[in-house]
Amino acid sequence: MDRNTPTSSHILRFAILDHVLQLSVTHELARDVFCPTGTWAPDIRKGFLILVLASLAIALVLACLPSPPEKTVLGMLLDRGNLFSSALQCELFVGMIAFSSTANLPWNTHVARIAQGLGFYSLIGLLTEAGHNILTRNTMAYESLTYVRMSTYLICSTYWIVMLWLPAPAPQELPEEARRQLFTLQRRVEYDLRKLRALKR
Amino acid sequence: MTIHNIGFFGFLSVFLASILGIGTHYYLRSRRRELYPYGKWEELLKRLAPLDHQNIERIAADPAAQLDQDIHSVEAMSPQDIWRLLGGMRGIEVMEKNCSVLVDLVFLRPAMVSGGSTHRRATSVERAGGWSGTSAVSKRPRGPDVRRQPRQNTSTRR
Repeated sequence: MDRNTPTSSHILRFAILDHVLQLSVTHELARDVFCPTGTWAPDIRKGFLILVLASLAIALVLACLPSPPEKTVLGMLLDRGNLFSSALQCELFVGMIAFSSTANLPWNTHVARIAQGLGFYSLIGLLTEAGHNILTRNTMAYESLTYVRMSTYLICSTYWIVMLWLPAPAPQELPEEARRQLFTLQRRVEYDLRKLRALKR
Repeated sequence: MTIHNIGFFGFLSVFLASILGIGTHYYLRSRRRELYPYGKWEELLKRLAPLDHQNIERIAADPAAQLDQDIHSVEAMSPQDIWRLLGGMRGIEVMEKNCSVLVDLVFLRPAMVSGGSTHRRATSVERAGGWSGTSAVSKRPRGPDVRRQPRQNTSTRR
């Protein structure tokens, strides 16, 4: 099939739409994990920005490296774009896991399950797209990689259905005794602080 | 396969190894935190930084620090003295770190009690963190700075 037909341009538009939707889901996941109250923690926000910029740069380098066999411009653009998208998603998910672990944020909620599925799909997508970038279109190997990617998506969809069907784990609550002790400690600190301020005057 | 593609696969391998390595590291760290939410006992002890306890006692013994004293009628330490005795900014940072350990200990306490060796563990905390009386004060150097070496005493005052 000629890639310069209007049908191919539609494919390109859908590919861009797919990439934008994936990034939007990633942003939504990050927002839910890192700013559940509506305010980003300042240190996390700065770190996340650095992560996004570094991920963009690395994914771009990775997408520019392969030298595909003879292909149309549109075909090459699609393969490189898919590789870029998968690499970017992988980096962002690993970065999110690292940040949430460092900041001790919960990573076993429904949101985390969506992220895990999407992360796994991106990882397999990275491998299949790497193959797509060096293989000729319409060959057996090329099509097999496409089937692998499609099967992975079905597996991830099943995982999401099951995980979102199961109830989310209840958040841990502070024991009553510990709550009382912390309340007393807070009162004591307030009192001491007032004394220290009075001393300063 | 062209030279470009060999370079691409080399870069891809490094990339994949890094992604999987970092992901596994943080995943295992999260799992460990799930199993031991407030850390293992030994890890908590390692996090404790020793303080010059004598200086803290001097500040606490200051008349202005007594609850029943009117701070305007007694001769209190100057803020500069308190700052110096605390060990400056470094001393404040060490106390802040020790506070987070104390909070974790609050949560770990039920496990300690069920373990049946509360006293032994409490004593080991005091040894590691220097939360003790004055029985071994003379064994360590005096001075306002925060000390790095753990104090070697066995008192159990909490």
